[in-house]
Amino acid sequence: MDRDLVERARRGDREAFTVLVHQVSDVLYSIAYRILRDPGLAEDALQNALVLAWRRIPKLRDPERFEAWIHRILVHACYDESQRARHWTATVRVLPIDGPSTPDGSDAVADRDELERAFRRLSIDQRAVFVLHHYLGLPLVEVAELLEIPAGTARSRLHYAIAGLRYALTGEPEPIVQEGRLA
Amino acid sequence: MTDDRSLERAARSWLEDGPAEAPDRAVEAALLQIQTTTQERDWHVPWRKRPMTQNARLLAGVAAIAILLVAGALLLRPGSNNGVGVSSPTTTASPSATPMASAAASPPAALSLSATFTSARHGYSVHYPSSWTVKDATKPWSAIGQNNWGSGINDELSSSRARFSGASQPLAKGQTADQWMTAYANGVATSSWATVTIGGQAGKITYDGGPAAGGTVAPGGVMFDAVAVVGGRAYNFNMDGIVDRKTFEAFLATVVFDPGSAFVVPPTTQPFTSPRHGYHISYPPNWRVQPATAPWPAGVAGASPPNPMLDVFTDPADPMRSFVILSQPLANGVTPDAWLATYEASAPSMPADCWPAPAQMERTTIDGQPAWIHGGLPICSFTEAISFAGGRVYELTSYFPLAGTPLPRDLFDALLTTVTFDPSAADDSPAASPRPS
Repeated sequence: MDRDLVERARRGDREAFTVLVHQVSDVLYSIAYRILRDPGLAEDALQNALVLAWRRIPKLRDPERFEAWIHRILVHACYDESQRARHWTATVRVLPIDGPSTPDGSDAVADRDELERAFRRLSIDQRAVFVLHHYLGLPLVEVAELLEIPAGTARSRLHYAIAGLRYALTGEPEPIVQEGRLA
Repeated sequence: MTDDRSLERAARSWLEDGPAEAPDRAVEAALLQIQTTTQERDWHVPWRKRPMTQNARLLAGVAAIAILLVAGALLLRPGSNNGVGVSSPTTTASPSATPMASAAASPPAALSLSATFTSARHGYSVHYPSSWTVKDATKPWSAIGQNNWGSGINDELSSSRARFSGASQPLAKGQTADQWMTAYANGVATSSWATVTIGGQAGKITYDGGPAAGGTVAPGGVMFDAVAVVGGRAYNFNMDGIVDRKTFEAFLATVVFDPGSAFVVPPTTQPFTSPRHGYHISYPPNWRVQPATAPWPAGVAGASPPNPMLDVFTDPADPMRSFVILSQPLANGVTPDAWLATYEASAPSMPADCWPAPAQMERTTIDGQPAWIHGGLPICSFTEAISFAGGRVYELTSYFPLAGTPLPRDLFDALLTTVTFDPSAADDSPAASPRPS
């Protein structure tokens, strides 16, 4: 990331910020889509994150941390979008738990459908950790730092995310104790 | 796919499948919004501007006189420098005539007032430095003495060193400008106020550079206050921090009064009876209503529009904001307190300012029933009231874009006051033709 662009954006240079927006939008949208699993919500989250980033960039103390900083803003925008679209989470919550798929691993399409459905059953917190770790490739310590949560909490969220997915795909028992509160 | 490693591999592969490019429309919409969005340069605690009590005014007056006496002694002293003196004889009788020596730093030499702020609520515009933070008023100024800093009544334009605040209110029926000024003076002789020009109109300086009240944006700074009555509205402008009279007057000179554009709660005269949710309401006649066609299923998860379980009220001229209502029967054995507690726990990622514990929510009544209000801040994107009647829970919510302007609180309150609950008329039967949400 061009430090000079970030510095100029911090000083109120809209053109510099526009360049930054074009540099980061694709990654931000990719993350938002994968957390929210809805293109409309992901677009809204991206738009809100970019506007909020513009407003708050003067307070960004270390321009070198721009990417982590805007990723954090995006994840929080995803949280907000999921809350705003509570009808969607409500639908997720009241869905009956479908029986696990046959664990033969032979039907990739069926597996992907199951993954999609299973992922939608995870809390938004768990999804964020899962996406940042497995899609963006961030080590869990960096995920924790980005989300401003303890490393143990990030590890726990990832554990329950994987356990939830495993249950949906194999029928192995879901953990009894959920980390945190339901989103 | 029986072990975690193969599961994670499959999940990673599945994650890779999604889109990799942001839609242009989302990026362009953000950039368009950014063109008119001001950056936040500084956070400051929303302290209160404490109105001066009679004693405080007296003390300020005594302090001013003391300074004048010292200044006079210096002037009369042989060999004194006549360049040292007070600024203007017209200010000697004001509560505090001279900028106090306690100012922590020099005021800005010349601020560039390159941006224009137009008040959506108070009927004026003013120029200000483009780097300053803008905070729109969210509430009406109903009574003199209420428009403290941070109250939501003032429009507040600020940096870390200075703040310009503005508010207005209509004169009471039959009230003259002089009568309003007298009421504003709260016992101080208005004849002591210096005249100042505000947007080409004659106004009065009611506090002239004395120490700023508690809650100032820059402790140790000073404060100026001015009023004017234009077009049947009384306006109050205030500036605090590391500023001087010249700067205050520079802001005032750019004011354009437009009392006709001040926000007035529209009449809520159009009746509506919900076919689903068991209540009656009256709303502005130019608004549109989209009645719910589906029940609100059990649970605490509500909905934002569009959704068939919502009665949606919208001003066609303001489609980005909406007011929605839905209700559901409380499950057997679920008390309002228990429902609220579950509701509060359902949104752990929401900012606490938007989603506090029920005990911290604002309390009011709707149709005589207790109600809890939360949200209302731009970061919340909603203002919501929850109430219970006849074994049902009702949610009444105004939605607005994130970081946007909330529905005016007085309009939200006006809508609530027209609500009457009729829980026995609610229809919780399934939708005839459900549509995907």
